[in-house]
Amino acid sequence: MKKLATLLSLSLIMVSGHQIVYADSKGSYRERLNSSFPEPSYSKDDVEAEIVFGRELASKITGKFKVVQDDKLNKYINKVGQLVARSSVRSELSYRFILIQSNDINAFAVPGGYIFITTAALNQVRDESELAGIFAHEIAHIEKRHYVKKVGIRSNKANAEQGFTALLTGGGATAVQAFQAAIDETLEILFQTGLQSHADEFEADATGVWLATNTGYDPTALSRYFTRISKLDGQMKTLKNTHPPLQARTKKINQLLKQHQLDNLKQPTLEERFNANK
Amino acid sequence: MKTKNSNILSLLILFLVFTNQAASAATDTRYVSSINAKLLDQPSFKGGLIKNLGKGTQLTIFNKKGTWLNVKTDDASTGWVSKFLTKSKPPTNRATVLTGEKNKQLKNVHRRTSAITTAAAARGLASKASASTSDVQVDLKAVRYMESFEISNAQLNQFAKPVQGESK
Repeated sequence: MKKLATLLSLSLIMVSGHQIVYADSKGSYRERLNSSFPEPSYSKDDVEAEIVFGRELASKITGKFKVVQDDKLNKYINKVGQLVARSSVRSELSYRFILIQSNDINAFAVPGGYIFITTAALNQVRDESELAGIFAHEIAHIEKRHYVKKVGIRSNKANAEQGFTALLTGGGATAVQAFQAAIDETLEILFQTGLQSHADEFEADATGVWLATNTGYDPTALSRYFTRISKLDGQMKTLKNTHPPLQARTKKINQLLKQHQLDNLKQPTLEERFNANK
Repeated sequence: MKTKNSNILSLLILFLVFTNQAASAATDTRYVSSINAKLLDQPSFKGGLIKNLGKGTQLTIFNKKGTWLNVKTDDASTGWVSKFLTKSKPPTNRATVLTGEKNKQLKNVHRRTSAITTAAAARGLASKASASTSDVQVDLKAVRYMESFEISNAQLNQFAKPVQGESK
């Protein structure tokens, strides 16, 4: 009986030991798994606040750029964008896409799901997969909340009193002033300074490639598009001022494609459908 | 007696190990957060389709290869899913600020007041204010035009066919 008790104790120690080892490996596993997916908690109010902010910002952008009133083309653009958005992990948002008039090659996203592409950028697109690649990059910015974090309009729960929801629910003239300041700062980021963090842009490129690939489009599309427009220096003043050099971005995308053997994946480009709708 | 004790001990150890592993595995859970997630029979985009995974499907992970997760679904299907289509927390429903009140504006949100948060928000953001873009015109009509392109699920499913290698 004494021997049984000893064996039982030993077995319990073994099982406990297994749990400790497992917990350690699980921790590092989870860390690795989540290393590219920081997932802080965002409440329904946070998301609604983000949409209100994005909508206000969108109204400023449409005040700055003329929206192209072409129903057929905009519907097609929305189909491509919304198809890519189906693969986004932020499926709580309604993504919206629109063509704006500008000779500057550019596309940009604002919080809440509002995404814009200029006529000059669209003119350089050769097939549907390239358009999907551009939108996937922009969706990635929203998915990763790059602008929200940069402007500081959403902080951690631990600092919730300075968060965006707090800002919107604050009320009064002071909140309006702060809200306006956040809008102004985001406009400056979009059109003057950029995110400053090259890592954010590279992350949006990589996430965008995965988004487009998961949707079913040719993974090399964004790289092909960047290679083409990199020769058109004079037509992308804003892009050059706000983003890392296209050569560096293309190089990183190509490394990703090769590393994961996505460059050999034959997925549709849909040039014909693009030309029929353009 | 000795044999009986040994059997009891063996069973006890097996039970403890099994329950411990089951409990541990249960914590390695992720959720399908995309509307377009597929369970494949190998960790590759060339893998065969086992089934489409609904948004919110709970996945138990028991292996990982690169960016692919080897998972078991709540209906006991097993296969591989891209980790980019999953999150560690369950997804939330579609959010909107337009439902019911088509043009809900900031002033409606402002009705909920809190002097403390207002002051904190102002401290955090007003100092960053810039007048350079404050005079930009607002065009809400254009935003409504942007929001008018509703694509139904049926339309999007049809549109997706050639993208996913199916004929129209």
